[in-house]
Amino acid sequence: MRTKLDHLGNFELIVLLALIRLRADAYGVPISQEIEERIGREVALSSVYATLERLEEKGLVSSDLGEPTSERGGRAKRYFRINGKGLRVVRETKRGLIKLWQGLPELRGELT
Amino acid sequence: MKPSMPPPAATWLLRRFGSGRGIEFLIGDLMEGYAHGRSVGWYWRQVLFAIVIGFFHEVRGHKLLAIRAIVTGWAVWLFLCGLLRNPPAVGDGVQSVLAQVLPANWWIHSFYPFALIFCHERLGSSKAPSPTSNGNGAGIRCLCAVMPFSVADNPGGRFAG
Repeated sequence: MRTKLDHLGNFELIVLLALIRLRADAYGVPISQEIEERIGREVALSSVYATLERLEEKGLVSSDLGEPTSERGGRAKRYFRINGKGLRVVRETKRGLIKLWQGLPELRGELT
Repeated sequence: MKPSMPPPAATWLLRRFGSGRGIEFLIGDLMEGYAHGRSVGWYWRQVLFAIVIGFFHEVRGHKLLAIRAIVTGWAVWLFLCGLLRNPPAVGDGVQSVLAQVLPANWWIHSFYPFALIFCHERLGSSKAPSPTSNGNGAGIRCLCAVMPFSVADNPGGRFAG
């Protein structure tokens, strides 16, 4: 049974997919770049962080501190990664979306 | 030609008025993005977005406090405006004092309720730390900065801490 916490918003799903793509190198800058390249518009880093914090509160992602660098003014990176529960929720969301997609003649041929 | 460092005023604004646990990570990411070729305009846009998003994030995280702050702020404001328009029959003293306290361009300050949201949130977070608050008292400083009759002048007051 899916709970309200397991429900993913549109941007939450986008961010989780970016985390899966980036694997171990997922922190603010590459996450926002990945999303920008995929969806073709500028993304606010703060909205990425707000979404990641919400996903962490839901228990779908975890974060670790990385190394500080000089180009960041000596500030550490915060790496995010999706956990098992997050992967399960993404799979269920995909399954649900595919079910919604199927049987719609107007959208035929677009799900490839 | 682009300066080598991002605009310090933008970083200062973000540190003062931004909220959320990850504000330093966000600043680090912005500096890294800037170092990798992003423009000054991009930096400013990101900072302004971060402040706005942080504000609504705080309000959403503390709905009751936000409603209470808006109601309290407007009640106090309307009460003071009413006193100015129809002063009680205690002589000209009250009116003249209020006229000195409240500025002539009072409408500029009609955003006090929104500043009070910050203030209430910070007071609340000092009792029970919020997971979304950086707890640096930015809201109180923001409020004190915009109020002509600054509560910061009252060291014994509730806002002094």
